[in-house]
This record gives sequence, structure tokens and C-alpha cells, in this order.
Amino acid sequence: MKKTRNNREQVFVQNRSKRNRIDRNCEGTKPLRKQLHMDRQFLLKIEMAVIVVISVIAVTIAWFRLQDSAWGRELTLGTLNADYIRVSLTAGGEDVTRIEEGNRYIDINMPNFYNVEQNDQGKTLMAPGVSGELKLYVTALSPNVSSCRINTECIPLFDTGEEGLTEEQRTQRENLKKLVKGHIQFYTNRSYDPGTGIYSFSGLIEESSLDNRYATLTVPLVQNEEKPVTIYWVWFYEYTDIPGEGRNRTDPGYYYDMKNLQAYLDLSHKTVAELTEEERVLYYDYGDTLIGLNVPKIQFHIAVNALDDEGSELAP
Amino acid sequence: MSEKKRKTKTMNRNKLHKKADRRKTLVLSVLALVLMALLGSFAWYLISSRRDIYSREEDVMVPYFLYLKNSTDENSLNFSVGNLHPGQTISHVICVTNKIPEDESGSIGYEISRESAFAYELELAYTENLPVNYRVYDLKEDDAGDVVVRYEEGGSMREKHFSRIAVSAMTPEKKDSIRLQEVFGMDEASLAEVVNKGTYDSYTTGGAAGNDKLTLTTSLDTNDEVVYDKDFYLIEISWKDGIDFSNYTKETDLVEVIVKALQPKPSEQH
Repeated sequence: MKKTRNNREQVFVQNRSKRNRIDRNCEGTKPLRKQLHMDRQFLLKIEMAVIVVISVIAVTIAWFRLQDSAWGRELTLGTLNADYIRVSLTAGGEDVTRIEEGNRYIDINMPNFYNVEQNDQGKTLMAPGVSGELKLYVTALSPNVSSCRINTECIPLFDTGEEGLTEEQRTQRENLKKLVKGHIQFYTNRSYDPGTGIYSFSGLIEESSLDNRYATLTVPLVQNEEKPVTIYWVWFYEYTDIPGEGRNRTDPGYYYDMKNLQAYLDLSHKTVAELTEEERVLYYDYGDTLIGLNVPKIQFHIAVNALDDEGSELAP
Repeated sequence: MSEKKRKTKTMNRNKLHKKADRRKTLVLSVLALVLMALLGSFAWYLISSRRDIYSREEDVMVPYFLYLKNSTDENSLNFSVGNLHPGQTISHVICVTNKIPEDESGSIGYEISRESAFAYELELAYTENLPVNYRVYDLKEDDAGDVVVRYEEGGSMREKHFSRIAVSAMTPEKKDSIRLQEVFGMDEASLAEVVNKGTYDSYTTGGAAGNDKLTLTTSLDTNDEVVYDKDFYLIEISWKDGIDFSNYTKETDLVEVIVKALQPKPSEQH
């Protein structure tokens, strides 16, 4: 039957609700079949977008996992593997970032000491008077690398995180960090007197002006030549053991209970600058006590940055 | 269907197919761009000018804290001998501990929160005007012990009992030369000129056999509360045998009880 105009309009009205569900831009003239075809395409687009999003997430996760997987470490991408610098923990060893998780820690090379408590494994604990050395092997891989900056840091570790601490407790922790930085210092030279059995240190590694958390050292490099670097660390036993240049690090102003301390040590109220050497000796001893009481663990951190011939860090 | 309509239909279908193809191409292009960006980022992160190296976490030793307390191991030691008559033995029980006395808490006393262990030395320093014996016994708390200390608490008198760990007194090590040089800062030859310079009896071992190092520890109980340590000692002071007391009726000796952690400056083991 030939559809008249009225007949077509009636068909249109009857199917309107159905069209509305599948064609939101209802023009009232597109046939249902085309509407369905376009909506399938729309669904297809949505499916493709979902697949892309899942792929992006999966690859990102895979990338992060690759950093710690043996396969990831063995993966070389030719021109994409263009590091500026290699740092090893042994002579001729592989880059520290590619070492298996358990062996990538640098040894602090502390010998056993008399008169210091030892743990269950017979290893001497960290205490005033102990020392050791950190050994690195640095190789410039690019001709753009002229030197490297080595930043050293001693990090106090606490049993609890920062969450829930009061403002006063946070301040105390910051002061403890400064205390640790002052009492455990890094030097480039060490000499031993067999007569007295005493080590003496020189060549204090100065603080970086960029970040005063660190002591910093600059080492010149030549491409593809491995350079051994030895840094001596020491927790001085007495204030008088510290070489003059290192004494500036031990500012008694870091102690967070100065009033109690002054009362206990029977010291008159003085500014830091007015303290005599004898008083600074007492403050230093007290600082050692504060560290021993409040800092259960200590960790050493070394950051090695490749520098160009202007002394600027090389960006990736 | 007329030819014209069929052609129109075919044209429209082709248009739709072309549109679909363009959309597919667009999606594939976007996908390819995303993958290239990821690959580029991956490559970018591989190139690094910095290395971070860490040591293992190293345990820090707990400082040594020593306190001398009286026999009730609560308050600081108040050591006095008084008059020593012929045939008399004066006894004192002292406590060596790493827990701060109650009468000192609130000052700058220290709270230990971790396990620790350290050796210490108990020392008696006394002048030698009087021919007097000083004997030190290693004690343990024992309700059936024969060493009895009486003290007042809460308005009533109480008793605390100890027994000797070893039958015989602890054997001291004489450190006169070293300690006198530390105290007076003189060489050995010059020390002879010092009058009544005293003598130093040093005790570093005890126990039943007399060879257990004197040690104080802290440990953590099941609630992670610190448990302190305490050692008790009996100091007996008596006249030596066979003396003429008339020579010493107004003489005075000084005696000090000293306890110190064995913490000389650490020295490397070779």
C-alpha cells in the first residue's frame, strides 16, 4: 500500500518514542536502521576508548614494575639506554640501580670497636667514637659529563611516621636531624696514628649551598674512566676531637630543651656565641645522649649528580 | 525499489562507511600517538643523570645510664658510715641500676625506650688513715635471705631480704696508679708527695664464680614497655685484726662509692 503523507506522519508519530530512545538528536526523518548503525559505531568508539585507557594504565604499571624486575634490568633499548653516569659499589661493577634489591646497599665499612655494644650478629652499633668509609666507583658515560657532585647525608630514622605528631614534636625531630648532621660528619681524608690508635680526619665535605641537608663533594671525571671515590664518615666521640672546621656544625642551638639542659649542667644562661669550649664539650655530650635516646636507626644516603663543564646538572 | 532510490541508498551507505572508516582511522591514530608518547616517556626515564645510593639501616646504641640507689631501689643512695667501734661491722646495701631514681625524675633524667646492655664498674675509693677492711658482696633479692634491710615506708617499718650470691667477697682490682693519675693529673713519681691520696678498689665481675661481668640491661616486655635492671651489693666495713684502737679514736676516713659504665673511647679491634 502506498503510504500517503498522512500515513507517513502517523508512522512517524507511532515510532517517535522508540526513536527518541535511540536517536537523541531526533530529527524525525532518519530511518531506524541508520540510527542503529550509528549507535553501534558510537558503542564501538566507547569500547576503543576503554581499551586505550586500560592499555595506558597497564603499560604504565608495567613500566614501573620493569624498574625492579630482572628482565627490565637486562632490557636494553639501544639508543634509548643513554645514561650520563654509572655509579658502582665495586670496581668495574654494574650500575647501582641495576643491582638486585638485596645487594644494592652501600657498605658503611665500620670495623668492630671495643667499648661499644654489639648486636646479635656481633656487629658494632652506631655510637659516639665510631667511624667508617663509603666507597663508590663513578664513570662518566657521556662526553658532556665533566664532573659529578656527590652529596652525602645521614638520615635519622624513627619508629613512627610524621602523622599525628604535634608541632613541638615536629620541631624536636627537625632538631634531631640537625644534631645528627652535626655529630656524624663526612671527610675526604683520614690518617691513623698506630702509636695512639687514633684516627684523625681532614677535608670536611662542606654543605651544599643549594640544600643544607647535604654535605657535598665535586669530583672531576673523564669519559669511560672509572673513578674510585672514598668518603670517610665519623661520629666524633668528644667535641674536642672535631677538627676546627667541623665544629661549626655542632651548634648547641639545635637542642630543644635548652632551659632544662642549662639547669642540669648548672650553666648560666648564655647565648651560643658566649659558650666556652668547656661548655660546648658538655653540650656536645648532651647532644650525643639525645641522639642515642631518640634516634633508633641511622641510614646513609649518597646522591651522585652528573655535571657539565659549567658545573650544571645535566637534564635527562 | 526504483533505480534512483537504490542508487541513493547505496550512496548513503557508502557515505556512512567512509565516515566509519575515517573514525576508525582517527581512533587508531590517537592510539598510536598515545603509545608513542608512552614509549618516549619510557625512554626519557631511562636516561638519568643522578644516582641515589643508600646504606642499610644501622642501629644506634642506647646511651649508658647508671644510678646509685639505696637498698629499696627507689631513691638515690645516701651513703654514710658513721662511727665504727672496735669489733663492729657496718653494712650497707646499695643498688646499681639504669632506672632513674624517683627523687631525680622530673629533672633532666632520661627515659630509655629500646633494648640495651652495657658493662659497668663498681668502685670504692677511700683514704687509708684507718686500718679498715672494705668488703663487697654480690647480692640477690631473697625473701629468705640473711641480709636484712629495714626501712620506713608509709609510716611503718618494713624489711627487705637479700642473700649473698657467693660466699666470699668480690675480688677487687687495684687501680691506684691509673686512677690517681686521672684524679690528680700527676706522673707517678709526683704522686708520692700527695698525702692521704687514697686507694681505689675496682669491681668489674661478680656472680657465683666471681667471673660474670657486671652488666645492666634494658628489655621490652610484651607491652613494649621498658624493663630496667638492678644489681644489689653489700658493703661491709670493719676494723682490721690486731690493731691498737687508741691510735684512731679521732681519725676519719673518707670513702666514696662510684659506679661508671665501661665506656672509654671506642677503639678499633684489630
